[in-house]
This record gives sequence, structure tokens and C-alpha cells, in this order.
Amino acid sequence: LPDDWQQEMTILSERAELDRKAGVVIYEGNVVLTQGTLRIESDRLLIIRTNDTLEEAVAEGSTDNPARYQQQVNAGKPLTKAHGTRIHYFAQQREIKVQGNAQLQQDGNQFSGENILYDMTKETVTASGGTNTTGQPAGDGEKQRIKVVIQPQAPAQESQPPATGNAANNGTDNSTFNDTPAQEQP
Amino acid sequence: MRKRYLLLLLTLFFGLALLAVDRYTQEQAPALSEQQNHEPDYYGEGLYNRQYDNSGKLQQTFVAARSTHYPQTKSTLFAEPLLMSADDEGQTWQVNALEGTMLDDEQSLRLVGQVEIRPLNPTQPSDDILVETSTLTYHSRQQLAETDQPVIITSPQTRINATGMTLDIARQRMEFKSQVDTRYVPQ
Repeated sequence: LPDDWQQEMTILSERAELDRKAGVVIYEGNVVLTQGTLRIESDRLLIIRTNDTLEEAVAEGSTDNPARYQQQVNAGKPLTKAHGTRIHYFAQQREIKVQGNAQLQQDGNQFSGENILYDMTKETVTASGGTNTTGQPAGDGEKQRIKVVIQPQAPAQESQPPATGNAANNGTDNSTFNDTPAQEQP
Repeated sequence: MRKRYLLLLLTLFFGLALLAVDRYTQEQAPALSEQQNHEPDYYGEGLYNRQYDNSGKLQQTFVAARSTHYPQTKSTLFAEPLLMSADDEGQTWQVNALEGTMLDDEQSLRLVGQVEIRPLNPTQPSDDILVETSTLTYHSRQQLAETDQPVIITSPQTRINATGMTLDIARQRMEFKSQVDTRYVPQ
């Protein structure tokens, strides 16, 4: 919720290292961060704070045990969930960036790709593919693609053309979506 | 002739008696030395100790209400020990407890009972932290404090509970060994 960041934040973990000069804390081992409806779980969590205010939280997991995020972004909306090898939570900008086998479920829609950026204020999702797993720039055919599944709107009284189910692929596998009612695709 | 034999017998008897007495006193001696273990050889009231580095800068101040030295265990027991030392940025930190023990040939102070670590005159509110635990070993040369006991760290907006901690005062780094529970309360 918009006022999540004003709630008490609790972080449970097995171990922790605090560098007071740098204002950085690293939590390790079954890390669970909760603040209002925000919940982040990961193997490792880095917290960057300035003057006792959370700037950024970086949750790191692995392929088999990815970092997980969930939060109710707005009242009356379902939980937004995401998981990936790494999740950056930018508290002040109210953004999250998911990397590595990234998946995001928001309002029933599902996005997956190598990188996903979700802006909670503008409610936009930017997803992009990545290079193949070897880290070498892939050839044309091997570029990882993104996948978007948009839930059709509930049928209104008069007939309204349903939203298309697949992302318009602009060739660079980098797409941005607004959370406004779907219009007819060009 | 008979007198001579009599004298010999008496000397023999006297010798045996001496041996018996000597054995008896030796048996008593350990009991006595055990008692002596708890006997201090010197003590002091109102201890005030200042330590300077090679450049003459005050490095550490150590105060205790009372100090008592035990020769057998080569250790000194301090009542209400309080230790002040500065970190790399010149911030003075205070470490105090109900009791402390230091071995003669060591620089480590083992603190017991209401151990507290805090900065003196913190420059900003977020620096006003308090570390509390039950026992702690403080290595004064490295300015390193460590404990395997539960520890609580509080500051205006944060509370950390953990079990086991290492605190590097000079570099301002803390490491919590297990069961870390951190609470941040926003302004």
C-alpha cells in the first residue's frame, strides 16, 4: 500500500553484518523482510539506508531458490508478486527491478523475461529479454524473448473489442505496458 | 654401654616423631594453598589508567571502582570497570559492566554483568546506539568486542536482537552470529 513505507520494517535472518559508516547492512540465511503489505524473501538481502530511511533493498536468491517479492500496491487490488535471481526494491521511487528468470504477476497479468521494471506510481511494467545464459551476446535467433499474458477485461454491457492476448513485439523484445483499459491494437 | 644404647634409641624415636609431624603438616599444606588461591596479594581502590599511543595521543582510559590481583590464577578482578576509547573518526566509545577480569599476560578484558557499549556524545541522533549483553570479551589493542550471548542493539529508530556478536569499534562494523531480528521504525 502507498503507506507501507511508513510502517515498521522487520527483518529476520540467520546472520547479519552491519557497516555503520557505509550505512549498509547485509542479512544472510532465510531472510524475510516485512513492512506493511510488503514482503521480500531471499537467501541474502542488502539494505542501504540514509539517515535511518530505507533507500534500497537488494534481495538475492539463486535459480532454484529465487528471491521473492509481494506487495499490495494499491488498496482493493490483488497482491503484486515477483520472483527472480535478484530483486531491487527502490523504496523512495517506489519501483522494483527483477533480474534473472524474472517473473511478475500484477493485477492478474503475468510478465516474464530476463529483466522487469515495475513502477508502482505510474503502474507501468517494462520487460526486456536478455542474452542467452552463457552471457555471450546471442545471435538474432537466440535472443531471449519476453512473455506477457494479459487477462482479458470482464465483458462490458455493450460489445467492446477484447484486449489482445500477446505483446506487440516491437522486434527489440523490450515492451512497456500501462495498466489502463486496453484499446484496440493498431 | 647401656646408657649409649638408651641414647641411640631415644634419638631414633625422636627422629621418627619428627618424620610423623612433617608428614602431618604436608597433608595440611594443600588445604592451606587452596585457601591461598582466593587470597589476593594486592588490591586498589579507584583505579584510573590512561594509555597513550606512540605519538602521545590518548588511546584508552580505563577506570574501576576496585581492582584485586590473585597471584595463583595470575588474574585481576575489577569492580565496575569502565573503558573509553576512540574509533577511527575520533568518536569516543564507552564499554562498562558490573565486573571484569584480566589475565596478567593478556590485553583482553572479560566483562560480566550488565555489559553496555555506547558512543559518548554522538554527533547525530542515528549514532546514539546502545549495545547490551550479559558477558563480553573486549580486546583493547584491536578495539574488538565479542560475545556468544544474546545481544540487543537499540538506537532511536532501530532495534536488533541477535545471539553472538563481534563489534569492531574502530571500523564501526558489527557482525551478528545467529537469530537476527531487526526492527526499523520509520520517523
